[in-house]
Amino acid sequence: MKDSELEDLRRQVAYYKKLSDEVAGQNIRSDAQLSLLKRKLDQKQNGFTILSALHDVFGQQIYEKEFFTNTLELINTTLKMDKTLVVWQCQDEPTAFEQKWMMGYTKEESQKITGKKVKFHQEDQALTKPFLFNQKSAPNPISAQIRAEFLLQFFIAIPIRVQGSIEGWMISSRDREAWPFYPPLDEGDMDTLVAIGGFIEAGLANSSLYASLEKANRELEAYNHELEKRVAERTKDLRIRNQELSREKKRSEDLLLNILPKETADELKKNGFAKARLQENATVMFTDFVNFTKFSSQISSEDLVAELDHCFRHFDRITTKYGLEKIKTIGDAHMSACGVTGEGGTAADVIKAGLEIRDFIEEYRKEKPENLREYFRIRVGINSGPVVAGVVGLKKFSFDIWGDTVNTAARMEQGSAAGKVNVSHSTYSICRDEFEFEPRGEIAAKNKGEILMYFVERKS
Amino acid sequence: MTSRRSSFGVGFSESSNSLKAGASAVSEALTQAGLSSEEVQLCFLFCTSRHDPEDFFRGVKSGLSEITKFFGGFANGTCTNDHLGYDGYQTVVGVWGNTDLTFDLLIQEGIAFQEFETGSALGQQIHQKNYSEPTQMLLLFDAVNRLEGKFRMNYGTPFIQGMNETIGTWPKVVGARLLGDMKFKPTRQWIGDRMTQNSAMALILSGNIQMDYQIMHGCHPASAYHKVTAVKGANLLELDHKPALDVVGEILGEDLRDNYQELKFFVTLGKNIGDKWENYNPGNYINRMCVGVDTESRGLYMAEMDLEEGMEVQLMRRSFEMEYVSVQTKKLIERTKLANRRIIFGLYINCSGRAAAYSNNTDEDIRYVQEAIDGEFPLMGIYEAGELAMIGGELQVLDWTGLFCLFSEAKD
Repeated sequence: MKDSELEDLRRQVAYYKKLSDEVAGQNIRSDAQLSLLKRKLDQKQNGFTILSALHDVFGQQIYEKEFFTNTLELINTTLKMDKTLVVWQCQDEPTAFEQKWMMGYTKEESQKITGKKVKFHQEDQALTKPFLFNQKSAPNPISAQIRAEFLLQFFIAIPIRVQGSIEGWMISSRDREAWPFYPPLDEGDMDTLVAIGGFIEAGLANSSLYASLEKANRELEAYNHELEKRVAERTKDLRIRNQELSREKKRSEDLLLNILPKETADELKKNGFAKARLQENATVMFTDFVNFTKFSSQISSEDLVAELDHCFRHFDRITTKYGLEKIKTIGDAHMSACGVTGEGGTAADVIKAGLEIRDFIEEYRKEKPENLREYFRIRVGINSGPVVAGVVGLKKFSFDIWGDTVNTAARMEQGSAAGKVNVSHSTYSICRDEFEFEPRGEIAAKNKGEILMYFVERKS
Repeated sequence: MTSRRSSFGVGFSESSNSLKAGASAVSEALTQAGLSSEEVQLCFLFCTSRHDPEDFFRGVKSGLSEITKFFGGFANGTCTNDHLGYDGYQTVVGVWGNTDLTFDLLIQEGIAFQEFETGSALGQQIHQKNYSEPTQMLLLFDAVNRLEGKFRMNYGTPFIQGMNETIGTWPKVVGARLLGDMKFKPTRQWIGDRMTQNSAMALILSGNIQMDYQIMHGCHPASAYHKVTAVKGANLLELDHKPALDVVGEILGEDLRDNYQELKFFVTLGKNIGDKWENYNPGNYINRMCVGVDTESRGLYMAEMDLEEGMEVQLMRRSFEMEYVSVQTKKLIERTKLANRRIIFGLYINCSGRAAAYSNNTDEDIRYVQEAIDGEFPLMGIYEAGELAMIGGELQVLDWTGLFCLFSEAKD
């Protein structure tokens, strides 16, 4: 190869080498420009990511602690910051601010900054605008204070306003500023944090609103609770009164039932009156003490009434036991009946009651002194037939029965003997198979002429 | 003898409460694996530096038993089949149980300023194990040296050189240089049942296990070759007998040359260990990122100290095709299946710089890995500061690379 050809080849190599480097330079420069552009876009995109995330939480209730914790973490991780904290106005020293929320501090660092305060004042003027401190910034007293007290290196500080006045500051920082991954903080970063600060202010307003709502809810709940308590107390009073009323009502009803048969009492309660009705199958019983008039002259009225009361109480128990209606007492006489209300009781029940009353008195007389025993004997008379039963009049209602059957029953008692139960033929006819009857034949009865009578005893 | 079918599950959490994050991630992992806490033999765990490492470790431990051994450390981000994230509160936990494999956990502390010595000591430990059967190794080491306050990278080149001196035969190996964020805060590692830092650690697996991997670069050569004519450690002083910063500045133009700080983590040089004139072959390239600028000597601080005088490098352009990630991932899966192996889980070690937020990419390459796997087996992924894999028969620290690994077992 000639020298000229060799030289030409050398020049070619140098030419292409230079050309190659130029192309490489152009390409790599383009990459660098793209990289710078992308970094700026990333910075904005990251800002929007945070704003979008913050925006998302506005649809729901914001709890201050959770809100700040999440926001500060988002700032650190998305904007590649190391530490972010929120300082709040001190209660006792309004010009000073101390740490309230923080993210990115180690446990030891957290302890160190607790209770540390910083004043955002310059030449006696309170700072009101955001500011940044990067590696190119000239130190000043505030940045020096923030760096020293809160262990920060390079930072951006954003005021947080509540209802127009600065209540706190958010400070976000990087421990290092190193190209290319962590370029010095700039105005673009500050714009992003200012926008985030705006959302934080809105978040605080939301939180405060929800807190007020919660407070109102709590008060409403307390009021409701109080109201429920009062209603419960009133209900309890009413219940007690109702119970008392029920007891009173029952007492009245019992009293009424004591005076009137249930059916009559129900009718009287319902209509205000009770019609007297014919009852076809009644059996009426009279009892009467023998020689009562003589007895009453020998003891005091009180003792007499006490004796009568004692005996009639037992009579009442016995007649109730057999389903009889007590009609009334007339002096020493006791009148009762069955079949007078349209239901319940048979003639046999009346005879059983009569025998038991008789037995009671026979036993009772044994308890009495010898001289008084003769007065404790009774005659019992029973008759069966139709009666008219009911209540008449407007006042002092009393249930009563009327008719010949009643008169005949009285005659049966009058025609009886001491310690005996005397029944009419009609009663005998009904119960002849159930008891032992001693026919007495026809015996004269006042205003009745002679009528058939029978002593009755239980079957032996 | 039939071998057991091992179970693996992954869990992810982004809770800012470190204790809860650990407990939640391990619970999810156990559920996916279908393992009880007593059945987990090995647990991988990674979290970002935003977490309290003690709380996170306690949280993970709370879901497991005393038999479980741990292996992991900080990561700038994590991923699973369904989740990915970085620079936040990401964590990932992988639980492995019901397996016949045996494993050793080896650690050598004190890597800061002592990369070579640490590598040598760790290599010695591995050598002394005298493995008789093929082994697979996952190698992790702390990227961050802040013993003197200022950040200094723990370099992989001397560390690997140290290992080369003592290890004898290398197992099949992949690995990562661990970091917990892009600010290079101090990191933590977990091994066995304890927490440590400033360490290099190896998990060595043997038995019915095989690891295969696919290197996925994200750069293409863009410029002509330029010769390294002066270098000092990781500081590339000269290219073509001119200050390296001037050479690069001349190519990139005045704007970038004047704003030289912008060259950091942006300029990437490629070292082609294959035929320099053949078509671009990703398997022959080692990418090296510029991590700083030496304004005094007008040099470039590189992420590793593996550039030597006489080598030729090219400016690389970061413009990888996402489809490339998908195709390469699927290829490895297919290859593994064709070898009649059951895939236990996938591990994706990704360069943090490849994340969309730190690159020109508008999408995340991990999404393409996730799509390629399509839920077929568990995926555990971490964003770190350098990937370790064999290129040209030697272990290399790779920059701007995604490393997809498959752990598989022979079918009965």
